[in-house]
This record gives sequence, structure tokens and C-alpha cells, in this order.
Amino acid sequence: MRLVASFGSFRRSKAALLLFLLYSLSGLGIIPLILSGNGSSKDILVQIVLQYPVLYLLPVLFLFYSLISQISVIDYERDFIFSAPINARQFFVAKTLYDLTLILFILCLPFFISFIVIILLLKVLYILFFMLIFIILGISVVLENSFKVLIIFYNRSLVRVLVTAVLIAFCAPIPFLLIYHSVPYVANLISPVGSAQELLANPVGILAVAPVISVCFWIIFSLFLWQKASSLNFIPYAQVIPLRAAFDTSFRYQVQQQQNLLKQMNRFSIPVSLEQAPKSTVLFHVKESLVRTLRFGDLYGLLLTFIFLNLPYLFITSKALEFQSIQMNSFVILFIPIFFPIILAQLWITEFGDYFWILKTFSCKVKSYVFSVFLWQLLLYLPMLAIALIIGSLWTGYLSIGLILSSVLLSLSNSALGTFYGIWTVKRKLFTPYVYMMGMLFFVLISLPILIPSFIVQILNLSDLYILILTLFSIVYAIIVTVFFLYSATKIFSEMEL
Amino acid sequence: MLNNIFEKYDPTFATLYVYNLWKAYDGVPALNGLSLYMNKGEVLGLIGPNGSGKTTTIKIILGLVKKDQGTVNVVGYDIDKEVSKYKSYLGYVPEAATIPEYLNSYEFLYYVGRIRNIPEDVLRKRIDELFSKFNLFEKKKSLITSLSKGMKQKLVFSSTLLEDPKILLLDEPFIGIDPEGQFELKSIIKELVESGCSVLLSTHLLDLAERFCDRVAIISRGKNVATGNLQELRDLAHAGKDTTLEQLFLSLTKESIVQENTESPSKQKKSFLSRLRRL
Repeated sequence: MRLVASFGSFRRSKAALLLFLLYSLSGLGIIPLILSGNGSSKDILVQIVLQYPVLYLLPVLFLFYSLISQISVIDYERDFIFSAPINARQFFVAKTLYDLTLILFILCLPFFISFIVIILLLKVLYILFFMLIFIILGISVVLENSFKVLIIFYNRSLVRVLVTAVLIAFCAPIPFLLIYHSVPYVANLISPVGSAQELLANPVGILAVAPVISVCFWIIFSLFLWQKASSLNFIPYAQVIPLRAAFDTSFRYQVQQQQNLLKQMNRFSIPVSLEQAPKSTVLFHVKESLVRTLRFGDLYGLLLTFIFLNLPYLFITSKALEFQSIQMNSFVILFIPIFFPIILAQLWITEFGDYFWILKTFSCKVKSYVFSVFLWQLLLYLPMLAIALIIGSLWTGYLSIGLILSSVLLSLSNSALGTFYGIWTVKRKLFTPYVYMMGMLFFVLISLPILIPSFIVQILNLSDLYILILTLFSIVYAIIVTVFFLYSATKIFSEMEL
Repeated sequence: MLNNIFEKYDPTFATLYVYNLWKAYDGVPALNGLSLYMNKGEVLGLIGPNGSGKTTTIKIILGLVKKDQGTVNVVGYDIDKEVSKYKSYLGYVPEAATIPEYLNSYEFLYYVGRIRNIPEDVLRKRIDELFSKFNLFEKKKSLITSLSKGMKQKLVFSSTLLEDPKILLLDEPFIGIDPEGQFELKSIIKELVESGCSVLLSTHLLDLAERFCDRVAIISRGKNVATGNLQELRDLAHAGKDTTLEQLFLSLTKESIVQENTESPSKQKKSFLSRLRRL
């Protein structure tokens, strides 16, 4: 029932169905990569998994989440299911199955579809590869659910220590991935992810025995904890949360979602207050936006995204795979001014869209407010961009003035576009994932007249005159786009009806 | 209209004047020539069925929605000419107001005060006065997300009083508020009215409107059907002295629908046209 509630909204939109279909089939893109290999542990896909800590990401997130949240139910489940004669174990089984279905068959659907193709192609190593991924994710989900219940009934600190110990065990091989070429055997055996990596590296023979035992131990351990948790009556202690339905176009739970998020993230927010604010109207609104960003925890999300973007730098030069450092550098640096503005715009829509009436009713200075939203975006991600530029230039030993200029120009034009996009979306009340996806595409399209000249200059050996022309073109374009979208945002704001 | 609503209109005394207001949303009419006025120091109830145009009227007065046609004067200012100046005389409590959950109570009032360009020293003093008046001192530093519904409503009320408004526009202000909270808010409204503030109160609670409002404007299908105090409405409906506002409301709105159906030339035209199409 929760699956139907979560994904029933698919039926409302053909665009959503199309997007999901595309998403599901996207995993088939790795089939050619698999077929191009010889089915050994030297294949590129296996090497990526062995040498880059990609497998650790989701398990670590799940376990970390079990530290900061509780066992949760949706309001209609509390009202109608808990008031019916069912016991906690039945609900716990259903909830665990829901989470497993969500992660393994929906979130990982592209991989699942690829897995089925792999089985048909009889690529044994990859069958093992995918099975191990699913097992690790399954263990993480089961552990997460179990810990959330156990923390209610047992000593909270003790359970938290246990979760932390499990987290450390999961991540034991990571420091060795960062420092050494080969991964030490012992560190791998402690972690289920490490054991999976060992199995992939040596799937047969005596070396495979210990990793198999380790994976089996983790499966038994997680099932044991799960069994313990399922025997406890957690129903009176469950936290009611709003349903987060995919592609849900109604925002009936928006206030509840915000309240939930504020309660969780406020503990971690830096104590910045709006009670002391600058005299300037623009700066006042910028500060208000910063307060909102901090209190909702958005800054942490942005920082995490930034950290994950830059993680590859830590592995590039120490690995056997030859990635083009400069191209990777460009990708990371340009990702920030292209995608961060739309992320911030979407956050603005979700967190502030409902309060627009305050600005309209009390005659807020329109230009000042619009400019403050523009500035707020720049203030949040420009420092990250600067750090990325510094890290990139230190790692590659190469500092591209063109790249710096492109990223600054993109920051200006896309922040203006983000401001416009946010206000336009609130005005049109177009709160659908389809609009968000189209918005992302639009951001990329608007960025092309700045990106293309930048790439041309990097790739081709042009004379100074042509470089100057292309540079001037990019600058003029960025200025026009910035002014146009800020002006349009101001106009829409003034004419908006609520 | 069942009565001439401008019969007792005195322009020198009126703080709000709305005349012949029209508004349609995507061709669907919300207001059909609505008119009303409000005097200084009075509570005018705006009552009507769902979709009758009460909230649209209030939003047009506030400038949140553009009217298609008509005149609105607020404290002598034509809202078409003085697009924002008149708003400093208004206070507004929306229906089911959403206020920024991520701010604390003090920050919210400070935020509203800064948007209204109230000088800093005046603003801070006023905020303290309002916290005292509304018994919100304990919740000064509490995030809005942690406040009860009644406290949030009090906070919204406080925000309307930062600048001593001449007109208060209240859209269903008592929904979901407990009796004690309602009593507190009503006392504060009475105090404001006694000091010369006018209140336009949109509500479905007819017994409240009966006891609390000086006059009532009955809205139906985007028109002001009848306006007056309780006795005047009884006279209009030829009803007895014990007739309640609820009974008057039902009777007058029904009458206005019948009148509209029989008199409307556009409807006759439409039926002729529709007959023509069928041929």
C-alpha cells in the first residue's frame, strides 16, 4: 500500500512515466562496457568498483541516517493500520519489504534491468558483481531499520556506539583506498563492502573463502538484529512523517515536511539570527535567505554534493586508470555554476514559495528582493567554486584563466536564471518534477554559448584575436542574460497575483 | 442587489469604498459588480457561501489580485493610482496563513517590520509591546514551527499591528482557534475598533458575525446581495425580530439567486443562442 501511495502519482503524468522509463533503461548503457571486457577482474567496471569507494556511499548514508532519525510511519498508517488488530512485527516486515523494494527494485532499477541482461548473457563475474551490490544494499537497509527500533528500547548511547562501530567496520578499507594501490586483505574482511571487493578481485580459489565467510557473517548479523527488533512493540514510539511520494504534484504535506526537516536539521544549524540584520534592504533579504538555508540544512546538502564532486581528485593520480585530469577538473568546476543555481532555485521554491504573500502584501521593494535572491545564490556557491578551482589547479598543476572566466560568467548568468526560474515557477504554480527536469535542461542550454567558446579555446590552437573575440562574446552574452533574467524576474514579481 | 447599499454612505466617514468590482479567472466570473463601503471604527462582516468572492474582494483591496473593472478607495487613496502607499494603512490576516516556519517569533515580526520600512528603534519597541499584548514573551525565541496554531495566529495578528493600521482585513481569522484564543483576539479587535480602526471580517461563522459585527454584507455569486445591521436585514427580508442572521442569510441569498435567474438578460440571451445552436 505504501508503494502504491508513493508511486501512484506516476499515473497523473505521462512525462513522469516517460522519465521513469528512460531512467529504467539508462542502466543498459553499461552493457557495452561489460561486453567489451573479457569478464575478468581486470575489466574497467570491476576496476572502478575495486578502486573507487562508490559502493560505500549508500550503505554509509543508510547507517548514518539510522543515527539521526527514528522509525517512522505515515499519518494514514498510524490512523488506520495501527488502530487495526495488527502487531508490530507484521508492520515491521512490511516496512522492511517496502524499503528493500524501493532501494533494490526502484532506485536500482537500471542496475536490476542490466542484471537480468547479464544473467542472459551468462557473464558469471558480473552476475556475482550485481548480486554482491544487492546483498550489500540489502544488509544496509535491514541494519538501518533494526537500529531505528533497537535505539528505542535499549540504552540509546549503547546502540549509537554499536551503529558507529558498524559504520567504521563498513568503511574500514577506505583509508587504504586513498593511500595505497592495493587494498589490504584484513581491512577488507572486516567490511562487507571490502569483502565484496575481495570476492570480485579473486572470485575463485582459497582467497575467496574468507570474504564469503565475512559476507555471510554480515548477513546473519543483520538478520539477527532484525529479528530482535521485529519482536519489539515500537508502535507507540513511531514518528509520524509526511508521505514523500515520487512525482506527487500536490504540496499538501509541504508544511509538515518543512517542520520535520527543521526539527532534524536545526540541531546542526549554525546559530545565525535575523534579529540583528544589515540596514540595507538587499543585504537584509540576503541574510534572511541565509538563515533559511542554514536552518533547513541546505548548506550541508550542498557541501556534501561539493565534497562528492571533488572526491575523484583524491584517487585520480594514484590509480591505474588514466583519467584525463584536466577534463575531469573542468567537469567538476563547471558542474557547480550550471547545476547549483537550479538546486538553489528549487530549494527557494520549496522553502519560501508559500510565504510570497508576505512580500506582496507588505509592499516589499521588488528590485531589492529579486537582487537579494541573485546574491544569495552567488554567496552560497562561489566560495565552493573558488575552492574547487584551487584544488583543481593544485592537483593538475594547471591553472586555466579561461576556465575561471567561464565559471564566473556561468555563475552570473545562471544565478540570474535561477532567480527568474524560481519566481516564474511560483507564479505559474508549476510544482512538478517535469518542470524541474525541463528547467535543468534549460540551464544547460543557456550555458552553452559560454561553454562552447571555452571548450573551443581549450581544444583548438587559436590565435589571440580569435580567443579575444570568443571571450568578448561570452562576456557580452553573460551580461545580457543576467540583466534580462533579473529584469524579467522583477516584472513577474510585480505582476504576480496570489 | 436587494437593497441600495450606498443608502447611508457618507464619503467623509468611509475608510473603504469599493464600487462595481468585476473579476474573472479564466473566463469564470468571481466578482460581478460588487460594491460595499466601510466606516471608520466599525466592524463590517463579509459573509457568503464558498466561492462567492469574499477572499477575491479582500485580495483585490490588498493588491494581491488585479481587478478587471471597478474602483477601490482605501483611506482616500485610489489603489490604481497609489499602488503601494495605501498598504501602510492596512493590516491583513489571511485564511490559514502560512508564515516562515524557520524563523522564530521575534525574527518574524522583525522581518515584517523591515519589509514595511519601519525605523529600527520604533520597530523593536513595537515588537516588545506586541509580545506583551499578545502574551507571547515566552515564545519570543521559539521557532514558529514549534508554536501551536493559536500562537501562530496571534503572531500573524501581531504582524498586522506593527504600524497601527486604519483598516484590518481578516479572512476567517478564528478557524481552528480554541475559545480562549478567540476571546483574546476578539478583545484585541474590539480595542482597535474603539481606537478608530475599521475591520472587514470575512467569516462563515454566522453566529459570530451576528454578535460581533456592526454591519454585515451578504455576498453571493460575486455580488453584494444586501448590507446592513441585523435589524435592517430583517426589515429587508420582512422577517420577525427573532430571526437569526443564519436564517436571513439563507433567505436573502436564495432570493437573490431567484432574482438573478429571472432578471438576467444575458441568461435569456444565452438560452436563445443555445436554442439557435440546437437547430
